Amino acid sequence: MFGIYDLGELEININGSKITIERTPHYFIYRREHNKEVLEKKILSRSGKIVINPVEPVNLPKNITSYLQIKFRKPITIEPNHSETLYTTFPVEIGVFVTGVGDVNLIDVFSFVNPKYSLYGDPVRGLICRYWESDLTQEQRAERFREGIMKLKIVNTTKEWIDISKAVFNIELMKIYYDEEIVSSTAEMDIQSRMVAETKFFSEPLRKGMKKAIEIFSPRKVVARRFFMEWGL
Amino acid sequence: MTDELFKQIDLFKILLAVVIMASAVLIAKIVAASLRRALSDRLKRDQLEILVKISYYLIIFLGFVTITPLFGVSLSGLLVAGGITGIVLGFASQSVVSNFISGLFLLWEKPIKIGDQINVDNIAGFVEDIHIMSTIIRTYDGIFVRIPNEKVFTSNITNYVANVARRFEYVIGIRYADDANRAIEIIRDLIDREPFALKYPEPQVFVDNLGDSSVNIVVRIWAPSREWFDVKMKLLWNIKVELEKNGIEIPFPQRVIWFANEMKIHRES
Repeated sequence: MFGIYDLGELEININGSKITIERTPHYFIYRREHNKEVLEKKILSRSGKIVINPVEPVNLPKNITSYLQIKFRKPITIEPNHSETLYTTFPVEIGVFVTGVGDVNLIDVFSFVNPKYSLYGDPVRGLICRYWESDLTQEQRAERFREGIMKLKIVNTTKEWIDISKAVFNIELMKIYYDEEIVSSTAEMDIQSRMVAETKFFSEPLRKGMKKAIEIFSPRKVVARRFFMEWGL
Repeated sequence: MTDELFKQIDLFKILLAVVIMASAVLIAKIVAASLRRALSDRLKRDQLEILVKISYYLIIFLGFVTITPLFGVSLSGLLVAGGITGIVLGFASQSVVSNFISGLFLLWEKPIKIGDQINVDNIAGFVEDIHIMSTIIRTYDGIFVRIPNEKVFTSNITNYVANVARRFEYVIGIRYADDANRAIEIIRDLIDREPFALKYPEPQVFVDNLGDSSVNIVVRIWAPSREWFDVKMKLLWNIKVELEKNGIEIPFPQRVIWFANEMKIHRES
């Protein structure tokens, strides 16, 4: 389902939704039927490719933030100077790109999960985040097309026991990989105190053969390769 | 001294000065346009505008500094003369200086940014631009309003989007015969399904008071500051429709009247 297709007559069924491309003498018609809603766009191109892959989950219903907050259904407690690699999930949004000569353009984003947003921190200086609830387990579990698997290494660098109920990420730094079965991302959360942690992503697929997804966002600040959670864990 | 100064000025120098200043303005415009093009997707609009303005005026200032020696004016002398002239002009044009200083303070204190929704002196709308002398507001009905910076600086400014999130509230009355718990459940479910009704801070839905004609349910919802009005408009109607779909009605004002004596009705045929 995810992958690269030649721009031409095309029909792809994804979990009950349908993407079709119809050729007319002068242009192509992109049509997506999803949740009883039909989206149509004309593509003026002589040749090109269509790329369908998971994208950073902050585009729906429209982009208002670049932060993702994962709230763990059951909080965890981690001992001092200890690290553990666990698995959680993140929402999947599916991006459709058209590629021409030397450029890639996003034409559509849709998802099988209902988006929800939340505030991390206080209303004055806090951050609006895409909100997602998930378990934090030792198993790689995800609902296909709806959830991606996030490999999360939690490192407690303090000398205290720390309770964690959420993780917040800057998705401008997110690297997403996909194959026929799963969508994945790899991240790390370095705890620096009871209230502060640093989160970052790695360019690392969960298993061999996974392809790297085309990203929508790129970091505004070249130096910022991590995000500091300053309003609690 | 004035005669000596004019003796040193010849036509060539004037032409050269005009060419240098024209070039400086041209370069400043090119740099400003290039910065806008190159950084429009990397910087926020207000940050970009400040950077563009600083670059623009810096280049023009450099052009001015370059031409001053042509007329035999030393920079230090110019600064002293400029200082004295500034004081004289300051007294002569207090409001202009006041607007200028207020503009500098506005840029430094940043109570408003380009794109913010504000209310200054009962003028509400979007901040279109913050110039050094005035601030441009586009009202909600699309009217251009120029407010001198002194007025902006000395007025009470309400910035509706300075904080990232804000709360809004409805009071929804239902009939005494309706199940308030069921109504609360329906409203909570609708809030949960609305993406921009924030999960945290948690929304509050509760019976606030027993009114004359209705049981009044208060609904408090937090939303991103830039989206709150859309959410408020959309949710209120959805709540009304969903409550009615479930047989819960919003009553008209009503009053029960008891007569001390039995009321006699005469019918004339």
